[in-house]
Amino acid sequence: MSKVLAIAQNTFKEAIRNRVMYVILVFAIFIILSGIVVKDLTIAAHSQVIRTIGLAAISAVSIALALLLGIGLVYTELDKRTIYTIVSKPIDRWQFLLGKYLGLLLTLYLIVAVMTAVFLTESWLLNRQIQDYHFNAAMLRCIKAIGLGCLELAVIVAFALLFSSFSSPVLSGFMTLMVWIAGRLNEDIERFAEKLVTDMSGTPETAQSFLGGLQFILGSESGGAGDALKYLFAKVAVLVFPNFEIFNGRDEAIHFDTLNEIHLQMIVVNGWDAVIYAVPYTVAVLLVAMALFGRRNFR
Amino acid sequence: MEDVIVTENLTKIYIQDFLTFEHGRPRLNLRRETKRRAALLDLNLQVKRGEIFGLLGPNGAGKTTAIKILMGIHFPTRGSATILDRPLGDKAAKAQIGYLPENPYFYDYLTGGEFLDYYGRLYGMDKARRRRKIPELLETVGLSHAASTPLRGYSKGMLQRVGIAQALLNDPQIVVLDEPQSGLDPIGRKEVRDLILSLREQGRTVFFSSHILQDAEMICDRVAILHLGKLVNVGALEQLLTARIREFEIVASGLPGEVIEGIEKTARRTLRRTNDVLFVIEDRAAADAALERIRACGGTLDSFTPRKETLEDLFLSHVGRGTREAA
Repeated sequence: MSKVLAIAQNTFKEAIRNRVMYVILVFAIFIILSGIVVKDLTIAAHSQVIRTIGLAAISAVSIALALLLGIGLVYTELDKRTIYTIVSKPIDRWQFLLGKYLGLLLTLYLIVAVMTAVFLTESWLLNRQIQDYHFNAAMLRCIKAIGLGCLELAVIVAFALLFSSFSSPVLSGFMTLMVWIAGRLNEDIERFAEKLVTDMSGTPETAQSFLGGLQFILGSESGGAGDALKYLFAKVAVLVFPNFEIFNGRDEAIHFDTLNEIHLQMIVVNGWDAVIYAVPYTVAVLLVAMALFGRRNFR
Repeated sequence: MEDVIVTENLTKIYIQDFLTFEHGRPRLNLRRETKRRAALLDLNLQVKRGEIFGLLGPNGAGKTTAIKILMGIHFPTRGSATILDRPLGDKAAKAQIGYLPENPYFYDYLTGGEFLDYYGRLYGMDKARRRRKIPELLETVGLSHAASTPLRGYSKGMLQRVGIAQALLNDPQIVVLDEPQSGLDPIGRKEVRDLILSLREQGRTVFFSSHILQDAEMICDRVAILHLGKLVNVGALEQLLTARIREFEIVASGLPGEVIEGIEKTARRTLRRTNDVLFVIEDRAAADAALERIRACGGTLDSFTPRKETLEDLFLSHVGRGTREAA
C-alpha cells in the first residue's frame, strides 16, 4: 500500500504544481462569488440564487478538472516514457493505476473543499444580512449535494483513467465526456423507452422488463422494427452508462424550501443509495482499466 | 559462474497499425507479412554474475526491445527469460535490478532529491535508508549541488546522471543500462564508462546496450551482436577478436612522388595529407618493403602501427558496411 500511496502523492504533486489548475480554481471562486451581485438582479429568493450559482460552479468546475487532468493521467506517463522506470520497479501495474486514481481524486477533493469553503463563507456572510429561516437546513443539504458530487467525481475519474489507459488524451477526453453526458441523461433515456411503450397503449410496468417491453412493441399494431430498435438502443444505453442523476443532490438543496412534500420527495436523493451505486461501479471500471493496462506493451 | 539473466528463444513480433507512413508516404499494412514486424527473433543469451555484458547492434537491431522485455515493459510474443532464476515480472527479481532507459525523461516538476525519494519509495525503501542513500548517490553522480533544482532545469547530461542514480538506489545486483552513453559528450561518456567499471568492481552485473563500439570494447567482458532482431555472435571479447594483425598503418613525410606511387600500389588505402602520407598495408612483406623504400629515399617515418582486429571490424563483418552509418 505504501507504493500506491507514493504514486498517489506524486500524482497529487504533479497536479498542484500545474498552474492551469490555479487559473481554473480562481475562475471558479470568481463565479461562486458572482452570486453576490447576480442575486440582486433576480426576483428569486437571494439565498436560492447563491445556492444555485455556488453548487453549479462547484459541480461544473470539478467535473471539468476531472476531465482535464484525468484524460492525461496515464497518457503523459506513456508519452514521456516515465512509465519505463516505474514498471521496472518492484510494483504491480494495478498498483500504479490505483495510485494515479487516488492521487487525482485526492487533488479534486481538495479543490472541491476549497470551493466549498468559499461558498459556505459567502452564504454565511449573506445570511447575516437576510436572516434566512432555513439557513442551517439549506447548508446541510448543500453539503450533501457536494458530497454526492464527490461520488460522481469518483466514477468519472475511473472512466477517464480507463480511457486514458488505452487511448490518446483527445479520444479519452471525448469518450469520458460522452459517458458523462449519457450518464446525466440516463433517466431521460429510460423515460424515452417507457414513452415508446406507453404511446402504444402499454403501461410503464411493461417497459420495466427488457424483453417484456420489446415483445410488446413488436406485438403492437402501431409498433415496428424501427421502434423496437429505438427501444433496444435506449435500454442498452441505460444499462451500459452510469446513472449520474443518482448523484444529483443540487435540486433538493436549491428548491427544498419552496416545494411541497410530495414534489420534494420526487427529487430527494438517498445518499446511501448513491454510495451503494458508486462504489461497485467505480471498482468495476477500475478493474477493467487494470486488466487492460496489465496486458499492454508500452511503446 | 552463475547465470543471472537467461533468455530462451525470446521473440517479439509487433502488429503494425494498418496505416503507417514511410518517408512521408502512406503505406497500408493489410497483408499478414506486412502487418507483422519481427523486432526480436529467438534470442538465446546467458549473462553471468559479475560481468559486464554488452548488447551491440545498429539501430533497429532489437537491443532496446530485448531490454524492454526483460524489464517488463513489453511482453514477449514467445520464448521465456529468467532473471536471478525468477520468471519475468517477478517482484523479488525486480527489487534486485536497477534500470536506466534510453534518453530518459523524468518528472520535471520534481527536484532531484524528490525524484530519488519517490523512486526509493517504489523500491520499498524505508525513510531512514532513503535519507542516507539519496545524498550519497547524488554525491556519486556529481549532482549534490542540484538536489533542490527541479528536473526541468537539468541538462541532458544531468538527467542521464540522475537516471543512473535512480538505477542504483536499491543497491542492485544487476544494472541494466539502455544506451547509457547516447547523446553524452566525451567527458560524460568517460564518466559512464568509469561508473560501469566501478559497478563491476563492486561485484554487480552490468548488462548494457550500445552502438558506441570503442567504449564497449574498452569495458565489456562479453558481447552479443544483434542484427535485424537476430543474434549473430556472442562470446568473450578475447575469443571473438582474433589476435592476428590485420593491417599496418604507416605515416611518412618528405617522400618524392614516385616513391608514394610505388608504395600506393601495394597499399589497401593511401591518404595524402598536407604534411604527410598515410598508407594502410595488409601484407607484412609489403609493409617491410615500404619501410625500406621510405628510408632509402631519405623520407621521414613518422609512425608505424600494426592494427589488430577491433570490435568495429567484427561488428561490420556481421552487419555489413552498409549499416555503418546507421550504427
